[in-house]
Amino acid sequence: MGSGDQPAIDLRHVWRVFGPGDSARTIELAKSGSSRAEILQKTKQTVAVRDVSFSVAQGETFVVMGLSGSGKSTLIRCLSRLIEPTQGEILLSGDDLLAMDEDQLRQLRRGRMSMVFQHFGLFPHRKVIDNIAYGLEVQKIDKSVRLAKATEILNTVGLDGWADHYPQQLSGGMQQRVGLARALAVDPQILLFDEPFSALDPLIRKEMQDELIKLQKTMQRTIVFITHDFAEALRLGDRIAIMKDGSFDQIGTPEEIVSAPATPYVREFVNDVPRAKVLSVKSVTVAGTAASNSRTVMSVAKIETIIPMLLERDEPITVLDANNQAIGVVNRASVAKILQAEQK
Amino acid sequence: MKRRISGIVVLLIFAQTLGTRGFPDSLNIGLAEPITNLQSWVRKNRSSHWLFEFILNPFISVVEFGIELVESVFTWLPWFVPAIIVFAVVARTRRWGVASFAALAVVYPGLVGVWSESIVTISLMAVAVFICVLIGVPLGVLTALNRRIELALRPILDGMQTVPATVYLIPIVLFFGIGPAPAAIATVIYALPPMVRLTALGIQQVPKSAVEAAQMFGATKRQVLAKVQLPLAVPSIITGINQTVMMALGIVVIATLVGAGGLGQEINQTVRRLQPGRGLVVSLAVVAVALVLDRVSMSLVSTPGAPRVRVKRNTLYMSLIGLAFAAVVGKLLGWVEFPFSWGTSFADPIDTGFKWFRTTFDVVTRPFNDFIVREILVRAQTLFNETITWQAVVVVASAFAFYVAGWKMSLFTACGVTFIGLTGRWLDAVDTLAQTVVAVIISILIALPIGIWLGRRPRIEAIIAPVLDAFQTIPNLVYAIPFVMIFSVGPVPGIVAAVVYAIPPGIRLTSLGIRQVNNESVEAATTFGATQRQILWGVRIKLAMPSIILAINQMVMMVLAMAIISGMVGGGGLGYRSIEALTGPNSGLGVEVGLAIVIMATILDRLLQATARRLQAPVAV
Repeated sequence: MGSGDQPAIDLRHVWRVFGPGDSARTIELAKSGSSRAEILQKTKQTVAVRDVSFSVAQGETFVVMGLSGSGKSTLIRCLSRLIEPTQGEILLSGDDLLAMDEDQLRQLRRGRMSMVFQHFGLFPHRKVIDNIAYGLEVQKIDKSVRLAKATEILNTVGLDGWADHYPQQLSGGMQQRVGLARALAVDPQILLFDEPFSALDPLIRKEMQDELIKLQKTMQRTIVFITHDFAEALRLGDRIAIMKDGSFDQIGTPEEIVSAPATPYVREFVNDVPRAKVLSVKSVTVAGTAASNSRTVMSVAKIETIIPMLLERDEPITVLDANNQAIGVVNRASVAKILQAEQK
Repeated sequence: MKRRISGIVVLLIFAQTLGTRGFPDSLNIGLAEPITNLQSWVRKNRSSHWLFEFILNPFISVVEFGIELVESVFTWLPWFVPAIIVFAVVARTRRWGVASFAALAVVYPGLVGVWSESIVTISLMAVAVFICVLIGVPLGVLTALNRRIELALRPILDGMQTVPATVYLIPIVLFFGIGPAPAAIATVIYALPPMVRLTALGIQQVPKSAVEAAQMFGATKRQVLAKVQLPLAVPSIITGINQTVMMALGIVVIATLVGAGGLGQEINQTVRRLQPGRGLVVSLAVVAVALVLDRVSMSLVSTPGAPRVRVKRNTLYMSLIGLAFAAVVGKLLGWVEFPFSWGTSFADPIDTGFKWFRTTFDVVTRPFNDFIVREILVRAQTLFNETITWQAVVVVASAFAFYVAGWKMSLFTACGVTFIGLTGRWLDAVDTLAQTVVAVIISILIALPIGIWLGRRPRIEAIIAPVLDAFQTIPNLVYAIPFVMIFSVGPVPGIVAAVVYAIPPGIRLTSLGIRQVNNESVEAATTFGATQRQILWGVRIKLAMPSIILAINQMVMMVLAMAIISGMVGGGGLGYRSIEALTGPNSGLGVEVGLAIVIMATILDRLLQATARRLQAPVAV
């Protein structure tokens, strides 16, 4: 097992090509700059994941956002080796994932890594409690032990009293709670989420996101989260990668992406985002001093928190950094400028 | 297009003027000979060769032992025990009515005095189905998990379902002899495909995410199979067992030709004695067996969480002990056979009714019989044997195939038709084809109008549908019995029976097609002021055409399946030959007949399917 200072997950130049034929040649073709469509026409092969590199720190939530067909599902399956990458390297705390034999891989999945699925992936023939205990059952853990553990997790995700129901008797949101509980029951360091909330309706989705944020505050796992919902990515991600046609357009914190979209494609998503909710006060801070220091705001606060203050009185507000030192001011003009960018 | 048509016409004229009328015997490729040689080798070595001494004969003994074991258990049991067990099993799903009905079906054979015959049939079936499960489930799992095995098995499974059962029976008689055990083996071969197919289907239908989830928790392949894939495939596997049972019941009658005995034997005799009433009564016993097995197997699977009667373990043990005690007491008191039976007297009125019908409607049935035989069948014979050359037949058939399905099908048709001639079964094939065509045309004339009418009356259909479905579980020989009585022995009762047999699925598929017509299309036509008649002919029937063609296809297949039965009641043609081959036994003839029927069925099936595809309204992409 690797040491703690290494990233929990480290992907280096990972490729995945689908379709029969010589994939090495296809990769060469892609490296020389051919697009996905051109390659498909020439070789009948699809480049699903194209030279993806990123690393995720211990306890970080990394969100991969992309539309359907962008290769995000393939990517997360490469990370768990449900799909074998065609080329590249994947290190989990320094351990080479792709070098593992079947037995080592099984051990890894039994303890260190779990996955939550888009359509829940629950076992319809097992009761909720047995679904949750499945990962422990596979490890041949005693029935009483695993049921105790499963019951504990069941309560954590707020499903007390549903243990003896079957999955299809539960609502979608509750089913995904079971999926989440099942993944948590084996106490994994790494949690993979494959569009877990996209099958849920908007209100339930938001509720589940809050639940996940709450859980993550206490459990501090390393999370890779796949979604097609940009707003969801912004809410959950410590860092976000925007994926298109198999490769990443941009990686960055939500704020970095919203304030400086790297490509026109990313900009399209950013345009629909209410910036005041994402950007921090720091991004609208301008030089100067306020007349009085009676009104102050932390630089990491979101812009939306100062709007009422500015509406109340049109005077600059002092911005403080983490050490409570003044680093400048915000005023109506500076906020209006950044919010106007939304209208473009 | 024009040039193509004129080319075909020229070819046709050539074929007709230069070709040979009928199919010359000199072209017979002598397919039968090596097989007949094999047959005499088998006969000579049956008691001495190692293959028989150490493999086939011991195998037969095991199967025989199994059948006798089951039989002795059922014979020992007092009659009320199976009824109670069936009731209890079905009642667990809380459907008391169904449970009572199933229990009633158990005692029905006793009521009509065929209790012991039913036991013989059920024992044979139980062993056959058991072997099917034993072979079919692992084979199904293998096909689902291994693409190569699937590709290798599929054509074999497809073939197994088109080869007429009588043809299967020949090698079995040859290698295993005659008796209940060979009959069980024949049943296994006939009934195995659905078991394999549905097991494979069940495994393949397991949601991919469930399998991935199991993998993600580090389950081994065996754990995924045992804990996820197989449990989730159980409903499909049970359906497979169900289908297998139905198929097995379907050849109960034919299996008597190799010594199966039991209910099939009884039915067979009623045909010979011309007792349609008794035939019907005994056949209902077969239907009852089917119904019981169907209900019991269906109640064994249910969706997880569905309401069930919960039984405490102690209560269960107590009732089992109670039942065993009751069985012993019943045995001591001698209540083994069913206490009373209505038997034949119950069926007599039906027989009398048919006799009355026969004499009263003689004015209609006799001319109908004569018309079909003299004007159609005999004419068809002369047409194909004396007027048209075989080359012309090949040209016409392959030209049609080309038109509906392209040159590949055309080539296949030409080769197939020629091959039937080469096997030496041209005459019999023509005979069967003529009967088939007559039966199909009559079926179309009856089934399509009814189907179209029903398609717009869902309420009436909901009432009729279960009746139509029930018709399909009746052994097809039973259909023939009343018509043998009404018409004289010959091709006509076979044809009429085939029509009756084929109509239900024809009606069902047609009405389904009509019902599935997009309602918006109909509404659109209505808003343009189309009359009811215009909507029916211009919209509904047009759009339902592919379904209607499939209905016709299904009817053709059912009529062909009836060819054997038709042979049993004097219909002639390939059906008659297959029985001749079996009772000989004449394996060479059997193979010729089998190939001819399979080729004919395949060509007809593919051509009709292609026609349906051609008529399919283009779907927007």
